Amino acid sequence: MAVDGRDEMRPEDARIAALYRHATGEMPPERLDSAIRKHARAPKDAVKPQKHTLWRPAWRLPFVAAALAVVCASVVTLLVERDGGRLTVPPETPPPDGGETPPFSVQREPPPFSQSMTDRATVEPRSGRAEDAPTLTRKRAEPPREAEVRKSIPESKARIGERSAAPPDGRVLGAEPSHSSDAPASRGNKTSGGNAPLAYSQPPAPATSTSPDRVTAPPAPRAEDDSLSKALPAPSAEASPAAKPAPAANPRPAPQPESAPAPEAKPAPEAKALARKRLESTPSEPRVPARVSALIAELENEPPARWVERMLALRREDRRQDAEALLAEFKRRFPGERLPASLQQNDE
Amino acid sequence: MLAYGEGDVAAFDELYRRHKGPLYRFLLRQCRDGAIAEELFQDIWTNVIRARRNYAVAARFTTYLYHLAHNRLIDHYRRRAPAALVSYDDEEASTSIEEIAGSAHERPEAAYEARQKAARLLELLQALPTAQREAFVLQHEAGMSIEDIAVVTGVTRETAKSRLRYAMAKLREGMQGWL
Repeated sequence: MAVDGRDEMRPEDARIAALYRHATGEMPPERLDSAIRKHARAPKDAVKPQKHTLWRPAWRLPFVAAALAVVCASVVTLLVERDGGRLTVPPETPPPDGGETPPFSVQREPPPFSQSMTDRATVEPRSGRAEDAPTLTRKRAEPPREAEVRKSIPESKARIGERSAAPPDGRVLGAEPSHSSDAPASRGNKTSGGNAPLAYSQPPAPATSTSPDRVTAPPAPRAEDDSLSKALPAPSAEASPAAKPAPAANPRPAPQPESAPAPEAKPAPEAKALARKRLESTPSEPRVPARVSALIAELENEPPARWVERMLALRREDRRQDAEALLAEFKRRFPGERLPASLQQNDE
Repeated sequence: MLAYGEGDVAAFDELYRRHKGPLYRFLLRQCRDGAIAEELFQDIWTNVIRARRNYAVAARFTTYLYHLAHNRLIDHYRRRAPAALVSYDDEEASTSIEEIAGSAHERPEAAYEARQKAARLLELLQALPTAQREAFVLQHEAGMSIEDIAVVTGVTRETAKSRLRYAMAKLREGMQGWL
């Protein structure tokens, strides 16, 4: 074969070409043939989408999951915040006594179960004042309260005087003001229910002047208290040293429905029911079984002895969980209260 | 190739049947290793299959195919160990004609003259510089003209022609007395 058309064709070139064709006859192996042919027959469009479907989730899924998580968290946070804000709006309840504001010193019943902000906010509107409504922070900052507090001092004094005049179960009432005046300091908002934030919100001067007056009265003992105090040595033993000023030793809140000045201090029943309903429906609240909430509501105004009785009764009925929940709430409300041996054993 | 790009698998079969032997031998001559030649062969055909949709007629399919093969070979040479690098330079003929001719005299007489001649030719071919051997194989396996060889190897026509002339001269000289 000539190199170029212009070059003369040499006989050696033709022989070399023929010899080359004779010398080389290699062919690719069959397996290679079949592999290439098979690959050539593979539909291109069938492979491509499969790659895409496999590829997409590989990197998109984590992003989608993360985005969903963030959105869910945001929505939940928003909802919780909104619900909290909604709870601060007071129920539209008229003041019990024709618009007269109940004094702040009036011992309010402690919050039903939780001590969260929304809880307190739910309790506070019992004053029946529209300006109390929006938020706790606003309440704390409001100076006009001072006047109201001062206004309420005489009433509180009178009430305390009445109670101290006739201590029914022999408890020394003088001790009670000491630890209830300590209540904001030692227990803070925890056990003083709706009172605590108000007490903190007062400016120093009026607060000092009103603090003894705002002292909550000792729990008004009932007839059952006597029987319980006999059964339980703890409270009776505690009653006598209560005379000495040991405030933190027995920081007992005052859940005394009887001692609370009668009609004007009691919140309207509708408001109470509404507040409880809202509290139960609040998503941010700790989940309390409905029956336990009912029990707590039932015992809300009862003295500790009644609580103990109820807990014992629940245990007898083999409703252990309810009893435990009630016990926890009891401990929270009455931290200094001693428990009967049976309850203590179970508690340990 | 256009027909295959539109889904005609039979067209590919025809292309493959026509070019598989020459291409395989071309690779075998160039890399001198059967396994490597098979690997390169498969790679090249895979590239052809992959490029079926985007194939544009710019030259003959043979030119296109051997251009792929040439590039693949260059990659292969680059990946090899530096000591085993093959020079693509025309001036660096690793083996002189005299050496090849001398070795022919040292070979014992073979029973089959044709096989001896073929072996001799292949031996001479392997002794050629890569570029000259490539030009020779492209011409004799793929039936390419000098222009096609120039296109495939990416050189000017004159360079391709020169490479081919040198290759033929060395082979003629080495095969003197054998033909």
